Amino acid sequence: MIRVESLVYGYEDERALDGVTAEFKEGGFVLLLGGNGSGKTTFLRHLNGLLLPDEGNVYVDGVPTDEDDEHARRRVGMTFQDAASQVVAETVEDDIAFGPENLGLERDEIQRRVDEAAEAVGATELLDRSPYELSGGELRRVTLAGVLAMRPDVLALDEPLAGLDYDGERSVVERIVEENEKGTTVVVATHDATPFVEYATRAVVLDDGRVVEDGTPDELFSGGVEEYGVRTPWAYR
Amino acid sequence: MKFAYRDRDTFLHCADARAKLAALVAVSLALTWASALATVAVGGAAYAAARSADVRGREILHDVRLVLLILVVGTAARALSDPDGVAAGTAAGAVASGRFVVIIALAYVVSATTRTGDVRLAVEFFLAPVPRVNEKDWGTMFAAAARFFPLVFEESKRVQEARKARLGDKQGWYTRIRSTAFTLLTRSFRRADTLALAMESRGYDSDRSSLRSLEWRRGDTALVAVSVVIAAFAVAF
Ligand SMILES: Nc1ncnc2c1ncn2[C@@H]1O[C@H](COP(=O)(O)OP(=O)(O)O)[C@@H](O)[C@H]1O
Ligand SMILES: [Mg+2]
Repeated sequence: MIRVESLVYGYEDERALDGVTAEFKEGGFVLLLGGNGSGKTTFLRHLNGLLLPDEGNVYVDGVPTDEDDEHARRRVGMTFQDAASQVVAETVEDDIAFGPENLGLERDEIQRRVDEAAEAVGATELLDRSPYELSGGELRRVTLAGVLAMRPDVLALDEPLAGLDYDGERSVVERIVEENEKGTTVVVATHDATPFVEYATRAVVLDDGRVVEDGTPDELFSGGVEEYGVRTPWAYR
Repeated sequence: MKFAYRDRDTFLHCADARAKLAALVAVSLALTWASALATVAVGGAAYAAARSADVRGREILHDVRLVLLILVVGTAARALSDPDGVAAGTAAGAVASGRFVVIIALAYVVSATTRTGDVRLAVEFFLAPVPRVNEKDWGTMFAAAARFFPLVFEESKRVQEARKARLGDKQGWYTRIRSTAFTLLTRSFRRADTLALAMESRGYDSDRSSLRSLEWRRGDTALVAVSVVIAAFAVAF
């Protein structure tokens, strides 16, 4: 469970988040919508403890991230908008092992987690490959495996479909939905809700660092969200 | 990729990272005292090692061509300013450059055959007995450097391609080098930043466990023995 209270964060002199309050319940599938520069990435980085609030608080299981960012990193798995910049090792297997190694797990347990996570995203065949030689869809799934291997409660995914073709998109959405069905909370930042909308339980719209809409997809999209730079999914037109 | 690990199944790939690092250090130190003839001989051995590891000599020369250029310019400068005359200066400069090239070639082969995770474990092993040195931190630092180096090469290729795509290669060499160097520098810093962020987001901890372990085999003892013989030979002749 994550609670965000009046979160304010600024880069140098510009406010990227301006008093954001939101709550993420266990098992939910939440879309974080908004145009470019609306603050989605900055917000997700707070959930994982990569950024700490200037003002306000982010609680992961009741623990404030500025008191214990390690807890947030363990519980909230985050994937980056640019998948290639998330790679830290020279083979897929070593890369997926990176998180479990940081957890200080025994060798057998690390291997088990790597195999399990690779299997969950259909990347078992890719384990010996270099992450830099993968297709866009394969790389996305590998980065997902890299966080799944840590067995997080929450997945915070930043534009997980960026740059993917239709097949790649489908394969990634499928894996995300599968994880959600296993009970993992999912927060997806995206400017296009279409591929996710049938699975989402809730959508939050950011504009200029503020929450401007928060509700079920039905509530949101039957109104209008295009003024915030978010495309209305086909199903609602 | 340049100075980066490539997955193969050769003797050197399977060799223990400790053996490879020890061999590299022994031969490099010995080269500092080596004569011209001995340097050429060790260069031959380095070439044989590269070939056995499926690394082509041409690749190494291509990847370190900038270093070669600097060495040639340095040798020329030395030749022209040597009090013993141009011939003596050229000879001395050439020998010094030759040693350096052989050391770089050896380092290239080691990085092509050794995973950065194994570099970390090897450095930890060597530094563990040293008092007041945190071997985990040093291991991490070496591994991060080994990981970062190929990223800089990759960035440099991208910068060059981006410039070429907009006819930047039609500019004069001075403008070209100056603007490329600046872009490369800023991009490399940014790349280092995202690498650190990627590691942090998965809970990076220097006190971590490891999927892989180092395993010393008879071949490793042989590798070290051969290197010591080569080193002794280089010093003696
Ligand atoms: N590293 C940074 N340095 C300075 N400003 C930044 C940085 N990252 C984002 N910003 C600014 O913060 C605002 C929110 O950006 P971001 O969270 O990336 O939005 P989104 O992910 O929705 O596109 C934008 O105005 C952006 O220019
Ligand atoms: Mg973003």
